Amino acid sequence: MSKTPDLALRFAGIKLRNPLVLLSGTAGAGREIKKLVELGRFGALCTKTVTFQPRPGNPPPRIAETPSGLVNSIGLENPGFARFLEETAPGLRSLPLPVIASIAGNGPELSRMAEALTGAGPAGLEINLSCPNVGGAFNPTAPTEIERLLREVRRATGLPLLAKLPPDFYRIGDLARAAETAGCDGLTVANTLPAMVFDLKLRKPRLGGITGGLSGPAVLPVSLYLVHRARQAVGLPIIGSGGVHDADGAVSMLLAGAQAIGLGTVNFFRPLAYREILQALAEFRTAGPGRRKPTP
Amino acid sequence: MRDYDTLILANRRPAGVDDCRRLLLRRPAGFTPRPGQFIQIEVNRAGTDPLLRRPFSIADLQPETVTVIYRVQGRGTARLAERRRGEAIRFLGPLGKDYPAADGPCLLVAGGMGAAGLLFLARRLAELGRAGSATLLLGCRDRNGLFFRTAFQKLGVRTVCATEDGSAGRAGLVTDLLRNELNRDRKPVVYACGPAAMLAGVHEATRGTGIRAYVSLETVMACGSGLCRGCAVPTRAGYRMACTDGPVFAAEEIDWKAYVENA
Repeated sequence: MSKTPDLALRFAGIKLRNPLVLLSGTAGAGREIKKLVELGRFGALCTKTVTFQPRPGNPPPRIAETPSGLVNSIGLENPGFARFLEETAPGLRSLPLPVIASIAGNGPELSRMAEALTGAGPAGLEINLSCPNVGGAFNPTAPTEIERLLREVRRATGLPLLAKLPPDFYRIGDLARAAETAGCDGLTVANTLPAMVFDLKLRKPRLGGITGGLSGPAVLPVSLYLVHRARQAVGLPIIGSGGVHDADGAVSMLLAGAQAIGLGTVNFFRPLAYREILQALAEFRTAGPGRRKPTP
Repeated sequence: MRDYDTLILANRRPAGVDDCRRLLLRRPAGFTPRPGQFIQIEVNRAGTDPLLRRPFSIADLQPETVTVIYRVQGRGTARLAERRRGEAIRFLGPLGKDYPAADGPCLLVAGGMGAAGLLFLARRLAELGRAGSATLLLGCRDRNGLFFRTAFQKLGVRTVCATEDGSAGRAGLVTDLLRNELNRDRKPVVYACGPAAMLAGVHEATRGTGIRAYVSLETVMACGSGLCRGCAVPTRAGYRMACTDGPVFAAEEIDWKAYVENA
């Protein structure tokens, strides 16, 4: 029997034991999910996005199920940066995996948070540029705006810096290049897809926030496309994010050009899927093309 | 909280009730829920549609079995109703906060399927020798909804029923029964589970009386474990999560106007 291949990698300057990354907003800050999964078997964890000011989140209902998908309208509910820095950040180092802190805000807020987090616990920062449930300054959409914002954050921190890009089908290459030019070390591609769901009986939107973001298996082919296009544009390492819930999806993400594989919505419905995924990644590394057994 | 992989021992309709099922699961070692807590059951073993697990209260717990009683009312429960004896099934639990213990007489107030979760509480009270001081007030649309009654009676709990169409028990709402009961000369602790409007009525009937009332709330839910922040409940102190701060809340904590509007 052959030795289990080593799945370890360096991603944007962070040492990961394997390519699996628990995605922001689906794994808290590690405290809750560590009761459910073996955190030491993941490559990294991205914390729930924190903003400078606390945010109460959107009115309920915040969740609507769609065919093989989930539309959420959480609205970046979080206790604000001061509490994150004081209560959450110090404990991040004691978790058995590198933790990437996800932050969102305007330029000055992002810079202040990035500076304060440097050396305070996280192994890296992810700038959430694309939450579909908040608007305005939180969501730059033009490559020039994104580049300016990321340059500002880059100046504020020496931590590995990831940009979580919006799922902009037509400009994903431009956005990836903007992040690279601004000095980012890696990308998360992408985020939930803007979406709506209606309650036909009540003839109104099912979400309290009216619109939301679609995630889950339904979005996987779209994520693969976005990763592929971003990969063509830049050499930065990519966390392929969106819809991976089994071995086939995870391997597809690598084939599309991602170095790391994000696990998000699957944590809600099949939290132990990482076990079969890790096994499949090991087989993928061992076997050449055409030799991997299809998953039943 | 753990993700358990267990076995379906039965999944059948209770006699005479078409749209309900009694799901009997093999109880995994180490699974020790308390009344009021819930589990997230995987309705779909391998597929992804329906995607999410569904939250259910526990109706009964025996050394070897876990019982869940549910109504087939959406895509998730329809899929669950197709699952057969002998199939493997996962569930996550125990989740959430339980009904706070209290001395003295207990008034269990159930609307429809809300009786399922209160049955487990009644079982626990019976084990503590307190069934005699407990009363179930059960409200249903029609007589078909009353199948829970005998289960409570077997435990030695006094039961009073109301149906909206008057086909059995008193004609009216369970909150009418509650007002009558509260006019009697005693101060019970109230445990309530049922539709949003009914729970708001329980709060109306008990507020300002010094009677403690606990309500178990139902919301749309994704993860069940505090990760997604999806099951927000409006309270007087802002949004709280049904999955980790609840599902059991003190009635006075809830912002009832907002809760009923969103339900």
